[in-house]
Amino acid sequence: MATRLALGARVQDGETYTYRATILQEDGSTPVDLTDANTNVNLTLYRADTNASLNSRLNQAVIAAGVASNNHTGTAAGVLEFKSVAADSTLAASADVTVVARYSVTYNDGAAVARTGVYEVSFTVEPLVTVS
Amino acid sequence: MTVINHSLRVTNSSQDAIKETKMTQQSVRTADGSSHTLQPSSETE
Repeated sequence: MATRLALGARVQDGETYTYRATILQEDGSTPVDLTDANTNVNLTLYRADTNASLNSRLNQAVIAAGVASNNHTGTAAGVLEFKSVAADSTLAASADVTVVARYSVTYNDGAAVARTGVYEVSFTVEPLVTVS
Repeated sequence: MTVINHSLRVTNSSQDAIKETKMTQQSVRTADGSSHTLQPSSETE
């Protein structure tokens, strides 16, 4: 079952951000080698209020066969980094919106057994006050 | 799978230039004190 972690950070509408996390295997200590040819990571970035995906990031491959793309990097030590672009947080909403990043990670463990984990993190995008 | 050390940072012109939320690994306790564990495929800590 996917778990969601609510991050306390607040992002302004259209503001870019950097998300970073370290991904470990099921033993809780061995990092997932994000540069390994058997590793694939997909991202779905969406609004929690409408479930609409943002910036075409609907199950988007961000690491394919160990090769990172789409504003992501990954290391052999399991460190995943996402440097967003403005379109990832440009919502033009009238109130705070919870945005969710869902990551699906597939890798081989030490015994070459395919494993898949899914997790979510959420944060708040807040609109700028209209000044007239 | 376990995910640790999350951070999300933004940079702006206010005094609070860097915002960061960091989660560290937490211990897992069993109800009866035994060593049985069930590790889900995903665990966000």
